[in-house]
Amino acid sequence: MAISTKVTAQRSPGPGRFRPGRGSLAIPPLLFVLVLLLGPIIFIGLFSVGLRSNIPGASVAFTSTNWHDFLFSAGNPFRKRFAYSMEVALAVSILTTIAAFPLAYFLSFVARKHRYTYLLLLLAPFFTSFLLRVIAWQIMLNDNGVVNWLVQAIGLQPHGDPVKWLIYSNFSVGLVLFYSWVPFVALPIFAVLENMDHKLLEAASDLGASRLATFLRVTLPLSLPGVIAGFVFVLIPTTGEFITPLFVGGPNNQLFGNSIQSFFSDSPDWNYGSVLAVTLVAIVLLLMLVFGRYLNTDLRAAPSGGDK
Amino acid sequence: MTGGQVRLTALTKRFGDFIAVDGIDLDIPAGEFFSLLGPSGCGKTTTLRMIAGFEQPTSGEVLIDGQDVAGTSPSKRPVNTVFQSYALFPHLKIWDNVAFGLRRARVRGDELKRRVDDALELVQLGSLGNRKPGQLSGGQQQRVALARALVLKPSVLLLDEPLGALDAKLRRALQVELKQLQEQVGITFVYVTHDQEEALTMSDRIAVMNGGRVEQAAPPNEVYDEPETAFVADFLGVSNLMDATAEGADGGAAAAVTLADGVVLEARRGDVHMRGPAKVVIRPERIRIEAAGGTGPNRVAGMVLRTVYLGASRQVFVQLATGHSVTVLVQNSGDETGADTTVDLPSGTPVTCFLPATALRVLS
Amino acid sequence: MRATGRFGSAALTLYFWAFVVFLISPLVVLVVFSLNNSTTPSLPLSGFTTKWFHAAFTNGELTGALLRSAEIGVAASVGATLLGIMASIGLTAKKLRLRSFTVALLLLPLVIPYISLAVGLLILLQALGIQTSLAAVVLGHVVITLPFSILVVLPRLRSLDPSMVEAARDLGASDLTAFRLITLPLLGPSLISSFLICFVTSFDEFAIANFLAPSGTPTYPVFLYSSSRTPALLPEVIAVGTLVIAVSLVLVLLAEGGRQWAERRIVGTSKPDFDGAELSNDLAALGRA
Ligand SMILES: Nc1ncnc2c1ncn2[C@@H]1O[C@H](COP(=O)(O)OP(=O)(O)OP(=O)(O)O)[C@@H](O)[C@H]1O
Ligand SMILES: [Mg+2]
Repeated sequence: MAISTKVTAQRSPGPGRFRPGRGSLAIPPLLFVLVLLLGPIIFIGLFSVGLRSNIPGASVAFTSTNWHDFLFSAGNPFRKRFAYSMEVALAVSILTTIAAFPLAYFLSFVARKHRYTYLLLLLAPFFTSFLLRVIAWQIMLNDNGVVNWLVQAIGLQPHGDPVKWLIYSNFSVGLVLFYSWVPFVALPIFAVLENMDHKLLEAASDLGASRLATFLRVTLPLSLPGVIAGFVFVLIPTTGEFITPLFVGGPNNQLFGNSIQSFFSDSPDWNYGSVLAVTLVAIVLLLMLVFGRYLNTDLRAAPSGGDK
Repeated sequence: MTGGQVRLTALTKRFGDFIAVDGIDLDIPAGEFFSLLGPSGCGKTTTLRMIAGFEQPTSGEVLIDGQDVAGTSPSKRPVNTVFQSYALFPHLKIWDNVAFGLRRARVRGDELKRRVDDALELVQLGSLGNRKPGQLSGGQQQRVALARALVLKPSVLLLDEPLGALDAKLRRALQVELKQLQEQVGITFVYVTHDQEEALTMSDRIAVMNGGRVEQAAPPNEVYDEPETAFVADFLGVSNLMDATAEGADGGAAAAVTLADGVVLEARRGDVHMRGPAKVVIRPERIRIEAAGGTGPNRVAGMVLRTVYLGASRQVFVQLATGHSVTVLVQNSGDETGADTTVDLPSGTPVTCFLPATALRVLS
Repeated sequence: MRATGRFGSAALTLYFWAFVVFLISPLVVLVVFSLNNSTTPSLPLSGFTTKWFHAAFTNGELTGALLRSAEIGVAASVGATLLGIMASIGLTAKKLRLRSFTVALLLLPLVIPYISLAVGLLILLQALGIQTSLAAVVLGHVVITLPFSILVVLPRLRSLDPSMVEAARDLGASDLTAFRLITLPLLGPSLISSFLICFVTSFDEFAIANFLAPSGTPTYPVFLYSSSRTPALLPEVIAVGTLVIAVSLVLVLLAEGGRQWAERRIVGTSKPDFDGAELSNDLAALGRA
């Protein structure tokens, strides 16, 4: 059989012919993200130091006034809001992690056989609109809502005197955030528990350790990576949260994200708003630097037999 | 279809600093069943992949029927591959798996049907065309992979450990079948395996590879009887490989080799002219066990360690006075002369081993 | 000896089911009030009605917003899945310069707060002199859903035997043909998951849509927000919300069914019944929903 392609005799060592590698397929999505993710971030950076402005004709020049005001001026309300936001995010993250652990433990150790079906039960509500669920909580928690009606019906509270802190409060914001995140924290914890050698735990028990001791000395330490991952799963998105307070928070429970939002809608000072937006991005990236390695997505690995 | 001659010249493949294939020269005539044999990681698959076109050589050439195929994509080479994992397309029926290549070559209608059916018939899978690969046994999947490649009438078929995933019994049956098939279709087979028995029973010629190089390329009996290097001897299961010092041939055809102080043997095969540290090998069936105290050239005293009955023969492990231990294969036919070896060789029996000069090979 | 004692098991079981009730109760409340004959969603119930559904579907703004979100969701999930396939194939290359950088950048949208991205996109549009538009919303949604698509498609692609594509090329297929006839069909199930996750995320996204959707054409979440300030609209919102919830649950089940069907088509054998393992795995890819 003859070979149709005649190849020139002159050859150099190395690949016989240039072929764009399959790696080049990553370029379009990469460019897309560069333009539409890094682009916006660069622009809020420029706005935050006054190099651009949304007010036509306004002078543009580098200025650190806004940054200085946000970071150093005494009693800056946005700095306070930021601190408050971080407190809320931290509290919610800790509480969700604590609440999620028994769920994961139940799935992995008690519900052995149907654990994936049960897991799905836990996750199913989260395929439905988040906004709708927040609205549902608003309906349940308001002064004429289901919860107040129940509380009054069983006599815990006199009629016509609703529990005020149920809505537009720290409680309502915290509750809805907690509600939204618990199942997702359960996931990484469940994953490490599943990967754990259950025989090992039985062995520990056989060696005379009490169940509590086994749990405290073996199970808990071994599940720590999942616990931390779950914690970070909540911490990072709640740091930038603003929808929940919009629906169930009062004026005093608005988070840092709400401050950003208001700078770009109600009082359009994009330059100051950008200072806050940049701060939020920076904080989140910082959190990723600290905790990122616990969120092992396993995507970094080259395919087997890859470049060494 | 004629042709199918494959020539590799100074073929080299580097992965970074690592040299996987190190300057291979091979000439495979058309219609040969050629095996690449060697331990894991010696570069067999890489060599095969360069012939198929999945890997570009770092240097050197692949010539198929005299044409340099560098830069020819795998789809354009007159070569097809049977993958170790079979690589059947799980979502396509068997029939469509086999038709895949023909359809790419724009074969349509009756001819397509006829050729696919013929190919399935050839591997005795005529009735299973409607199944999906997941519904076949390992052996059946292997045949589909074979049919899928053969249906294109390549002039060279590359097979990468095609039987590696099968159990021993099925493996042996398919070895026979595969060999028959090759004779039937008459095309060149380049067959990769790390199983020396498989290579010996199927091939016209074998290239024994080690560390990216070809140690020896020869017909099976030659590789087996006249290994050119210690590695080949060892890899093909010559158990009697002894360290020695070669003293050279001094103009004659026989070399003197010193096994240990005072024990000098004559060897007439292998690299008889070399000097210095060497290996001498002798096949177990060529050593003769004689009664203790026997004298004469090429005789070494020893003691039986143990004896294993193998039915028609016995395997006797002997500790030589030189410190080497050798395996001796003794036929149970009963006409050995000299000693009571036909009767019994219990452990501890002192014996003399005769290692004929014509059976002793000197290897570097 | 079990890891959990009898008492512990009982307590954990109780805790789990209590949690399920806690998780589902808001959905139940929505369903109940969507059928309640009262303009305010409060107890005690005042009778059964379906009038809110009729009202909702004659409310052009509401149905328009729903339709808009569905369209945006389809466009974004198609875009994100296409880019996700490309990125995944790129990331499976043996040699890839700047691999860590590429991975980090492609997954970065998972952690960047939507609010910062939203205002950044607003600024970017302004800087480029482009009006806000629904197309801009789609682009923004593609950015945030792209990592989900990669997290679903890439593991599937990794699990495919690379020699399958080589076999196709060996049999005469071009790279593109090999992709179309072999890789793409085998990716099928994960593509369904990818579409679903991206669609649900886009359909529900508020921050970007709030800033980039022109004021006359709100998406469904934006409409929800504005109408939540108008108590008279609440019953209709609840009614449609109930339907949206029902549809999303059906969609999830359909997608899971479709995924299993595609899987069966590939393997040619019937798989054991539904256990949700795969779907849960895909869900695990969702850092945020
Ligand atoms: N793409 C690659 N990148 C880096 N190293 C590689 C690559 N492919 C193969 N190698 C290395 O080259 C050497 C030879 O590999 P090859 O697959 O040819 O061996 P083999 O003889 O087929 O072994 P086996 O019997 O195990 O299949 C091995 O050490 C392997 O690790
Ligand atoms: Mg190999």
